[in-house]
Parts: sequence; C-alpha cells; structure tokens
Amino acid sequence: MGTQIKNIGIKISNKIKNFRITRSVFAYPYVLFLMLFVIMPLIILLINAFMVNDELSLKNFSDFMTDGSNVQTLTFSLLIGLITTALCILIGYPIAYILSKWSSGRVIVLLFILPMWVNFLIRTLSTRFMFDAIGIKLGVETLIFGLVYNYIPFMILPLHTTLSNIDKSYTEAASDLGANHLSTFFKVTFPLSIPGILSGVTMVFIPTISTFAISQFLGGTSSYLFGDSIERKFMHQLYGVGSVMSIIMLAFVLIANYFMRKSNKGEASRNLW
Amino acid sequence: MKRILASVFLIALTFGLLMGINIPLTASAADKPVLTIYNWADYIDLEVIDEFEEANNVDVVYSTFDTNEQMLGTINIDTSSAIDLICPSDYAIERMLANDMIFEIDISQITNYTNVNSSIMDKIDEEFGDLASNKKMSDYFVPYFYGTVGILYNTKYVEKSVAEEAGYGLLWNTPNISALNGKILMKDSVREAYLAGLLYLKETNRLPEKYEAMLISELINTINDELLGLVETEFKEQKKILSEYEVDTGKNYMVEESSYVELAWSGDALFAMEENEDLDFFVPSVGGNIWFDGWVIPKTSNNKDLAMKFIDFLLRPDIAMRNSMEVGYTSAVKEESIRASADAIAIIEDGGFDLDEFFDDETRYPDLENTSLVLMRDFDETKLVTMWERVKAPDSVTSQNLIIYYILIPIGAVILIGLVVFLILKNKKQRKVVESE
Repeated sequence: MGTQIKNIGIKISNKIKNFRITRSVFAYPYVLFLMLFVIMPLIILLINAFMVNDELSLKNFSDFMTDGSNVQTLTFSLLIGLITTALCILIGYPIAYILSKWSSGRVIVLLFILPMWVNFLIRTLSTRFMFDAIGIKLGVETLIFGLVYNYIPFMILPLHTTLSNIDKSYTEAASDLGANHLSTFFKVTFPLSIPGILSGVTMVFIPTISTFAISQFLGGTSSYLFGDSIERKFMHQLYGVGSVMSIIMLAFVLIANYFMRKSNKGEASRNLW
Repeated sequence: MKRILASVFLIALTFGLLMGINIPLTASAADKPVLTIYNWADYIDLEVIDEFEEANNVDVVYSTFDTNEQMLGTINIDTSSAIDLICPSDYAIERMLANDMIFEIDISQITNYTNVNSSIMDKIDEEFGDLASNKKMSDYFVPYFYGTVGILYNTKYVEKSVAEEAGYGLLWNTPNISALNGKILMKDSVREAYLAGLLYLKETNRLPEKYEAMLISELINTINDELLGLVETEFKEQKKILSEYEVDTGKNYMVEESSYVELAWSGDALFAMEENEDLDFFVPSVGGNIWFDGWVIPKTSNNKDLAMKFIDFLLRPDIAMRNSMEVGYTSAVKEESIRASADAIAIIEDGGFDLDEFFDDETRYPDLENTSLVLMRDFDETKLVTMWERVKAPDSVTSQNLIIYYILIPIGAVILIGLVVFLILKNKKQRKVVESE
C-alpha cells in the first residue's frame, strides 16, 4: 500500500518535472479563450439552427426562406451595405491620400477620427437630434449617413497605413520616366493601395449588414436591417430561425474573406490596419 | 498524441472553469443568507434593497431584465441558478405557471398582504379563471405595479375632444391633421401593436361580423390568420405616416416635441406629462389593455422564506410609495393603506404631489372595475412576430428613396465591378510576365 502511494507520488513529481515551459504553453490562454468565446457559441448556433424540438431538421431553413420578409430584409441590407461601402471608399480614399501626402492632412483625419472616441450609441443618438433640429426626415438617406459616419474610420485607417507605406521612390521613378501626376496615381499609387481598400471593405461591409442600433435610431420607418431582424428573433425566443440568419451572416463573412484572400494573395493579412 | 492530450486537458480545464464559476455563489450562501432577485430594469428604489439587507442581515444579489421574453430565455437556459424572486408581467406569469415553474405563495406568511388592492386580484382571477388544472393565478404571485396602455398626445396639435373621439385612430391620423403626419410614434412591441391594431378595427367597425359581437377581452386574446392579415394591412397603411417605431425612446421624443402622438404605457405617460405640461394621456373609450407585474417565487429558489420576507417588506405602504416615486408606475398597495400611513403620505408630498390629486389622477389610478380595460393573455407569438416583420420589412422601391436606388446603386456597382476587373487584369498581367520569363 505504502509503496503504491509512493509510486504514484513519484509519477506525479516526474510529470511536474517533465512539464517544460515551451513556447506553445503561452498559447494556452488564447486557445482557451477562443474555445470558450468563439468555438462554443458557434457550436451552439449550429445546434440551434438544425434542431427543432430535439430533432434534426431543416425546418428553420425552410421557415426562413418561405417568409418573404426575411429575404426582402436581407436584400435591402446587402444593398445598404454596398452603398455604404462604396461611399466610404469614395470619401475615405481622398482623405487617406491627403493625409499620406500633406502633413496638414493630420488635422482633417483627426476630425474624422475624433467622433470614434465617443461611444457610438451616444454619437448616433446625437446625430438623430441634429437631424431633428435641422428638420430632415429620417429615412434611408439618414441611415446611410449614419452608417458612413460610423464606419468611415475603418476605411480610412487601413488605407492610410497602406498609402503611407508605399515607397516614395516608386512615384519618383514613374515621374522620372515621364508619367504625369494623373497617370502616376492610376498606374502606381492606386494599384499598390488595393490591399488597403480590400481590408477596408471587409471592415465596413459586414458590420454594416449586421448593425442594428444605428438603423433603429436613424432609419425611421423605412429601413429594417438584417441585424434588426436577427435581434428581434432572439428577443422573442425564436432561436431556430435567428440562428439560421446568423449562420447566413457568417457565410457572408466567410465568402467575403475568401475573395479578399484570393485577390490579395496574403497581402491583406499583413495589412489589417 | 500530444495534440489529443492537449485538447483533452483543455476541455477538462474548460469544464473545471465553468463549474468554478458556480462554486463561489453557493459557498457564500454559507455565512450570510443570500436572496437573489431578478427584476425589470429601473423598477425599484435601490436604497430599499440596502435597507432590507441591513434590517435582516442578508445579502441581496440583484439583477435586471428588459423584456419578459429576455427573462424567460434566461431562466430557461440557466436552470442551475438559484433565483429566489422574479417580477414578470401577467402573461409571463401565466406561462410560467403553465410550465410549472413557480411555487404557490403562502399568504399567511405575508403580514402586509392585507395592503394589496383586492380588486386587482379579482380582476386577474376573473380573466385568468380558466387556467388548466384549476389553479388560481392569484395564489401564485403578489402584485407589485400595474398600469394601462393608451395614447399620449400633445394638446398643442390635437384638441382633447378630437383626440378622444379618434381613439386608436389617432395613431393612424384619422382626424386628418396635417401636423401629425410623420410625427406619430408606434410601439415596436408585437403585443401592444396587435392590441392597438385590433381595437382600431373595432372602433371603426371594420371587423368581420363574427368578431363584432365578441367582448373586448375575447377579441384581444384571439389570434388567427384572418385577423393578422387585416391588422397587417392597417399597419402597412400606418407606416406611411409614422415617425418611427420605438420602445423606450418615445417618451423623450414626446417631451421634447419631436413627435406629437405615441402609443404609450401609463407610467411613461406620467413621466412625460410631468416634464411637459402640454401632453395628455387617455385610454380610448372602445377599451384598452391593463397589465400587472407581480412577484413570483420560481422553483429554483432555495430561500423561499427570505423571498416571502422581501415581498412582505415591499408591501409596507411607505416602501411601496418610495418605489412608486422612483419608478413612476402605480403601486398595487391599496389607497386606504397608503392614506393610513403617515410615512407614506409624507413621501408622496415630498414628491411634490397633492394627496387627493395623486389618487384622483385617472392615468395613475385607472378604474379597475371598468370592464373595457382588459388583460392580454399569453399566446404563441411566432405568427405575430412574422406578421410584424412583414410590416417592418423595407419596401423595395418607393418614391421617397428613388434617389438612392437610381444614383447610388450604380455608383456602388461601378466601383465594385471596376475593382474586380482591375484585379483580374492585374492577375493576368502578372501571369504573362511569368510566362514570358
């Protein structure tokens, strides 16, 4: 009996002695975090989506597809997402460009980034009051304004990083070889900044579709986004359909990511910001 | 092998952690009794809880919810938590009772029970009388606050007589007052919306014949495809003149006059009317919803006696008035008991109210005997939610967002197509370079 305990004791102490702090040990906390807060929720989502009354079924999917309003809301959200992203590029690119060229651009960018430090709910609510004060009716237009206003920093920052990382000797070489400003921009600077645009697009497009607070404050009666719909489903304990919708969102994220990678060949991953 | 071991270790750790989270909760119960309360947000004077803790030498764990659905979801998922007291609304209590989730309350242990306004209990038992298994609803909860759903409007833009004649129609702007267009707020809550929609149809005599003879209490508790379809058309019509859908923000918009008409809860209306004197509130004469929130003891409770003690504490007239002043809704403690307590009277007068005015205010103290004020029962909300989503879903192309569709979409499309083409060209060029090398 005594020797047995002794043996076990030796075994345990050996285990402890053999436990070495390798590099992978430092990853455990992160892995644990990911398991708990990313993998587990995803599994729960899948279970909710495919289980109806404890039975495997596709009823939630058919419920989603047959109810016209869901598809209508999804297409509307995608459209809003596209418009917002396009506007963010149109407005954000020149700003990022100016910033990377002129030192005075810093002030402009500061003004754009400044609202980011205010909580976004407060920001959105005050935007609403400003519209009220000016007398603008809430609707799709104000919603898009709110979305662009909220997400444009996510477009400017990666663009700024990419643009200011472009080696100046490229543009110098181009002008030495006879290119004017316009063709330098279109043949050298713009192509080199595409990774920045792409990572900006991923950071604007997907959050736009799934946003819900902004559309509730600024959308008036004419807008209802996919995120709002998901929120309502979960609020009324319709977890099945809600999960299906979340999975559809997730599919969009994955598809977007795939295309970004493909067109970028890994450049974007270097360039998250 | 190493990987498998690592993952097993991780999973074990995860479970260990999860269990670890529960340990402190039960462990701390050993030294001081713990009372876990789950209440609506902003629905109690928090100092009352401190006072209870001190008086009884206990710890109170207090958490809040925003909707009945959220609360039900939480207790369905987290069955291990030892919640001792919950404050759901009438229909949620009905659902919990049907699922056998709550204890019967032993009234004899609550000394202040005589303070409860008995007409509330009568009303509830009358309307919830046909529960399965012959349970009496009033045996399972102690009422806390109550109120009505009605219409809050700005008298600067709508005259009182016009508003009261229009009833629920005011939400559809039936008096045709041009100032109201785009200034009407609708509750983004399926139950309240359905109620308003049905009673609007009833008011304007547009219900199919078989529903016309129904009592209001039957009508608002009937839910079927025919009625849903009718209501849906009305809501789609209403959408054109609405300012927006809201739940909590509306009362503020009413106060600052960015909107003029709102479907409102009486407590919110009282708040708004105090802030802005031009506002007025009424429950349309055709009828309306009266609701109750009450305390129930869920079967997960392991401290029933303490829970009873807390309910008893809340029924003390002065405590009830302190909560009522803080929250703004109507306490379920009856008028006579409050008038009999000098402390309670002092609290009302401190709040800036005249005692008689306080009790005579019809918004605060609706007539419980009024048979047109009815309770809304629990029902399956799935169809209601899908109907409401169809109403809210954006219309594809309407004249007001034409600009967006015809200008911005092409811009977006051109940019995206341009990007794609550019990328393809870029790739091709690179390939050519590689090939030529």
